[in-house]
Amino acid sequence: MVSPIKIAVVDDEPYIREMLSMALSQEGYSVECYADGRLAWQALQVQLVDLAIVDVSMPYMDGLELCRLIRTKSSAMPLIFLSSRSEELDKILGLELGADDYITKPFSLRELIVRIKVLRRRLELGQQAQSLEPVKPKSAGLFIDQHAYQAYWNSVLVELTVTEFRLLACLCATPGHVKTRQHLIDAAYSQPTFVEDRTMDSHIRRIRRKFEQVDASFTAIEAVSGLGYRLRL
Amino acid sequence: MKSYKSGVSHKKGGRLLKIFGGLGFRLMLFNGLLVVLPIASMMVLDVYETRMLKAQEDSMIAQARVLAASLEAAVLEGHGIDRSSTQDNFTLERLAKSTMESLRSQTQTRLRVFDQTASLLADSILQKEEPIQAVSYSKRTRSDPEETQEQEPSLTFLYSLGSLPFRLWRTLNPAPDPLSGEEETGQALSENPAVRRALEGGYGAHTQVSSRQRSVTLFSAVPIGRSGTTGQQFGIVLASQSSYRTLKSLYEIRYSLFKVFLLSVAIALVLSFMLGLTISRPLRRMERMAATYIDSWGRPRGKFVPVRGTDELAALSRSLVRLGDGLGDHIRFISSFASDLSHELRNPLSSIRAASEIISMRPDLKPEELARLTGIIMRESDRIDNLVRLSKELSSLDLALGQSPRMAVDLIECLEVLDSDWELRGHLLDLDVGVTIGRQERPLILANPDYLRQACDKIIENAVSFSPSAARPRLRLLSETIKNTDYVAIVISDQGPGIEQAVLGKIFDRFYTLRRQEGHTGLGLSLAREIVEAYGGQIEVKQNLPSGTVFLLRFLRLRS
Repeated sequence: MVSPIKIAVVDDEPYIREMLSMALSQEGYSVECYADGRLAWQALQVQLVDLAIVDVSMPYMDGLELCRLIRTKSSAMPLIFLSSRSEELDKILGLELGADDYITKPFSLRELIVRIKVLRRRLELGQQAQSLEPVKPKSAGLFIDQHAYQAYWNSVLVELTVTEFRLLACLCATPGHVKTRQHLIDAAYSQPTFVEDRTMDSHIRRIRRKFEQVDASFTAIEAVSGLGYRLRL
Repeated sequence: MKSYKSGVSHKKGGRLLKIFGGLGFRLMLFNGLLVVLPIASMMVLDVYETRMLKAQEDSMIAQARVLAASLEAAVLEGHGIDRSSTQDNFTLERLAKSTMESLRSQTQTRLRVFDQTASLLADSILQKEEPIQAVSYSKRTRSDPEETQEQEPSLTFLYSLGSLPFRLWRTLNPAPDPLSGEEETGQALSENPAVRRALEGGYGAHTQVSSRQRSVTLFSAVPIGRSGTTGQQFGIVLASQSSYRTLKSLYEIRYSLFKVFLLSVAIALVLSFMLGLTISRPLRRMERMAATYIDSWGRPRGKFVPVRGTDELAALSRSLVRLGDGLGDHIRFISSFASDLSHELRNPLSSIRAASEIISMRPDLKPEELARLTGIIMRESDRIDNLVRLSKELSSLDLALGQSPRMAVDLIECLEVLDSDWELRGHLLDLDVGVTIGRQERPLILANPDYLRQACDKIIENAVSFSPSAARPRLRLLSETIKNTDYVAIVISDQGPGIEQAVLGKIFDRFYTLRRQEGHTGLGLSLAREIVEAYGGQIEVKQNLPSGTVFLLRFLRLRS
């Protein structure tokens, strides 16, 4: 029998812990709940889980600190941040903590479950790729795998978060056409969310930086002053 | 908040600086100088003119008297035996003519001698015996003390310019017609009031306005004789002189004054320009700062920089700095409050949303699970309601603290009221105010007693909720002197579990609580801090040893 996927839920809100535990157990996950970062870290030091859902603001040890600590132990463990402030989003993006995704409160359970599944599938595909023959697209330029939520530049995998992947996929749908910031926001978030323009700009900055790490001369994402962004291939 | 030195803080020298460095004084001094200068020169000129004319008259009288006395003496001495009037006249005319001859060209006064019938016997400038004089007459008329007016003093361009308003005034308000023109003959002079008065035996003086010139001619007449033993009058001496010389001197003075006036106008222009700069430059700077203070969205973005100095403009700039800082602080307070509140509302909203989603996703929920979920929705809705109410209270507290009156609050009385309040609520406090502070001097602070008690209440509530039911929170007063300043602190301590070092720094943050599930909102201590800081105090928290927490509310102590 395959052991169920273990998810750690770290939030100081008892009802949120309870709801997540209820919903995720129903989906077949094994859920461990912790009231703050310190308690979670104590447990995770002993045994890591398959995925962690972490609230940013918590007493004793906040989510960002916990993420830093987890990354010292594992760089692969998927992490989803729960955030309720736009300032926190900036922090998550700015610190480049290696969070795989984030979701803003009040969130939809369905949306969260979809994101968990995407992260899992990516991880599984990654593991398969490692165990089997590496299947990489041979074409030069940009290649997008809509199923695996993965993007390649000149056949090299570029690690993107779910939000970043959605943004890139939206730009890719109509190359050369300008997408407004609102258009991109709608594409990146499945539910109506208020996101400031500068948050969108920092997403794009991060995508560019990730591509530049693969190819320093990457300039395919262009800013169109006063409008938004477009992909030029 | 930063505090900027205001003009009031320069205590001793400040008042003087404020008066003499002020704009009002600057303007007053400047305008005062402008007005005082011409007025002063006018006054000096008036006094000068009066003195000069008086001196001129005095000298004329003196000359006339000397001549009259000498003529009288000569007449009496030389012809004392025969005293017929023709003889006297003859003698007088002879003596007068010879005296005039020797006096001529040595006096600036025109002297004339008349007999009793007012016919001219001798004149200091008309001596017909010497034909040469006739030739020199035309020349000498130039120096005729009565008539000579070399030229009008108003001919200088600068003087014409300066006197233009006065000349216009004279044209519009002409002087009364002169009574008579200047007469050359002795016959006409017999009508002169001065001559008439002297013929009657008294001293006569008369001022005749010239028809041609602006000067006047002064006439002084004294009788010859009268003073002697006989009391007989032989004739009169008439001294006359034009005021031209005096006027000329005055012209020169006026001319100099006008030049000084022009110079002072030039200096005034430069000074007023500089004065204007000292006002307009800081004003422009403040205008620029004010114009760029808020951006197009109405958010404060700029910064006011105080203008140096002690005058009103510097005070205004410091007020603007305080205004800007206060506004910035308030906006930061409101936006951080809104951000905290929206953050705090998202948590119960998340629970409610998740609970509703689970209910809609899973029709197979057991009745107890459904009851649990609906219970959570109810409790979290109450929590949202509670949060909104408390936030409203907290945001209105900011305004209320600013408006409530401040007074000297006796902390011993304040704590005694708290003690009896808590006793009524069923909790005993361990209050002892006499241990660390003497009863001799009352511990007074500047605050509002109601709000101060509210702040203490929040901390005592916290202490009571953490302490075992039998333990009584301790209330003490602590007198402190830090850097020569006296403080007094309310110390509230409990024997509860204490607060971990890691979170000590966060417990005053809005909405920060470790006991959310017990219904705590995390607003009590933040409210206490807000009140204490509004009264210039500080709030501190530290570990109570061996267990529990100590809160210190420190205030500046008032001298009783």
